[in-house]
Amino acid sequence: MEGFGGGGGRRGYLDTVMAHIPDGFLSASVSAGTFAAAGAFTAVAARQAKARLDDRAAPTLGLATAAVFAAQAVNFPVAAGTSGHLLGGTLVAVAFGPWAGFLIMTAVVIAQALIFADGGLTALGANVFNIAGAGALLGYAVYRLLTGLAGEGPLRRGLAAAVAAYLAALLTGVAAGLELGLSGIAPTRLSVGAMASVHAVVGLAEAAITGLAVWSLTRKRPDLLFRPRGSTVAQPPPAVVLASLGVVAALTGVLAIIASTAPDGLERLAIDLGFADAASSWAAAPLAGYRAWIPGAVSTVVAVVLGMALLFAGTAATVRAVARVRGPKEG
Amino acid sequence: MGFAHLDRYADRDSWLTSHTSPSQRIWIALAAAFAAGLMPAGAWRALAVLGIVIALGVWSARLPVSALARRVGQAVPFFLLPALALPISVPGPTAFEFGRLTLSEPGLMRAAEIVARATLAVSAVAVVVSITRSTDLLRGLDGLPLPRLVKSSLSLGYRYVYLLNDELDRTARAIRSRMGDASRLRLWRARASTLAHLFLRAHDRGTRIHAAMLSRGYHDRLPTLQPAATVSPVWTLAIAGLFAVIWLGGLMEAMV
Repeated sequence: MEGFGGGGGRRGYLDTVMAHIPDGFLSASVSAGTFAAAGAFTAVAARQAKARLDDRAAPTLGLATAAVFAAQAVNFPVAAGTSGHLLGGTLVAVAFGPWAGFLIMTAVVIAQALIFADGGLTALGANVFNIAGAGALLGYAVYRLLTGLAGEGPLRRGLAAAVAAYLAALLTGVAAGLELGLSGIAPTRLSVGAMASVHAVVGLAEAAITGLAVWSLTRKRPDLLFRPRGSTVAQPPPAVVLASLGVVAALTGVLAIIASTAPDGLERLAIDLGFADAASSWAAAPLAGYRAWIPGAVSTVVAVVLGMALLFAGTAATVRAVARVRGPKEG
Repeated sequence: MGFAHLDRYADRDSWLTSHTSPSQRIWIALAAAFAAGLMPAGAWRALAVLGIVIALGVWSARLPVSALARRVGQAVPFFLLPALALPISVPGPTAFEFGRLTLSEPGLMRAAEIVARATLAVSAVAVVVSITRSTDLLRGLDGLPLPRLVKSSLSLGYRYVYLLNDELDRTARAIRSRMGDASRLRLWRARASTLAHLFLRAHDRGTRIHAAMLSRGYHDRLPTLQPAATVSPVWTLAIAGLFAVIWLGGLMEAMV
């Protein structure tokens, strides 16, 4: 099954490696706090989905959960033998509604932790909160806001879903980075910066896949897409608009902070490895007038890019090696 | 296709399987994973004791070490790679220098602790998952404080994921035979469209299954004909209690 997946067993791909926090990384208080938050969200989601779907809820959500699992086996080739796959939070929220989407992703995260050791049990609360919360709830809020502003054609919905999926992936990374920082694993600025930059890349694939899938879904069967109750034309209530704007603003703020403080550790890495000199001499010629401030920033950017490339290459190589040893049947 | 390979060691009788029921084993796995995963920094002796207890568990489950190693190995990249970044990125006094790359002492320490905690937690869960049939595992989730919709999603998801996967395989074959030399963009489009189809089919199948369930007297609850095994909870309480005691010991060790 070259490149298409369908083997059923999950192979770890870059984005799952990055998105799911394993056991051993979170402190007891962060674990407890995220469990409480995830538990509260799950309870609300169960009530909302039940109210909306009634006794159709169990079969609908069950099949959607199976579909997410199957969908994650479909590989999207990126470059140089690496591939991405769907995480799916925003897509299921667009198709089945935000609260149902939250429950579907919760089930997926639990199965991944229990059966595939992908994400830890002590981090289950955090992972549900990051992946289901950001993916389904935030993703849907942004999607709703954008379709409310832009309209509902297949192309518009697809683009709205792509933007929503990207922001959701980014927020998943920021939240995971915050939790790692609060647990005292690494300085918060550093962990947030690292996780956000990884997800800024991973999010591109998620955005493209989600956008294309929603575009295709809208062209085939627009009637099946989730429609908020009591509105024929999506007209987001002011609260949703405000909340989404707030979240987008907060995200931009976080990104601005990361960009302006340029994680110390990465800069140190750049200096240690000697990129700083190389980068500044490389950048000096064409940008002579800005020499005062460009070299530092460029060396950081070069270090970030190189570090990411190394991390990706290392992860990809390891994961592929492990996948080959485990040998899931690929016809 | 199926997940038969997940259940390869599920039918062996062992001390652990005869003294605990599947749902009790989930609680044991949770207790072990929490004791290991949340062990405070610096509690090395408690971690060692925990490791010995988990090793005893592997032995009492009659699980081949190679099978356990395969399962744990699958999870290693998930925690090893992030942990490896710590010695480089966490500031502190230098422990080693390789050329211009410096590894900090606190970073190394933290990485070692994380790897130890994660390995133990993953091993404990792997033992339980390996010796328990997937269907029993899913039914065992009933005892956990999760919304019923999440539990039913898990068990129905498990039941239908084979089917959807086979559908995807057929679609993949069709795409390969028709778009062998298509550009990457067209392949992405084809695959995204396949995903859209997958969700449409899942939706339609959900509707049909709902009708079928109703016609068989479905009342908002998934029934089971297999009675749950009744096993005295004494051993489960004892083992879970042991993990709790070790964790508390670790807390005290870290405070001293």
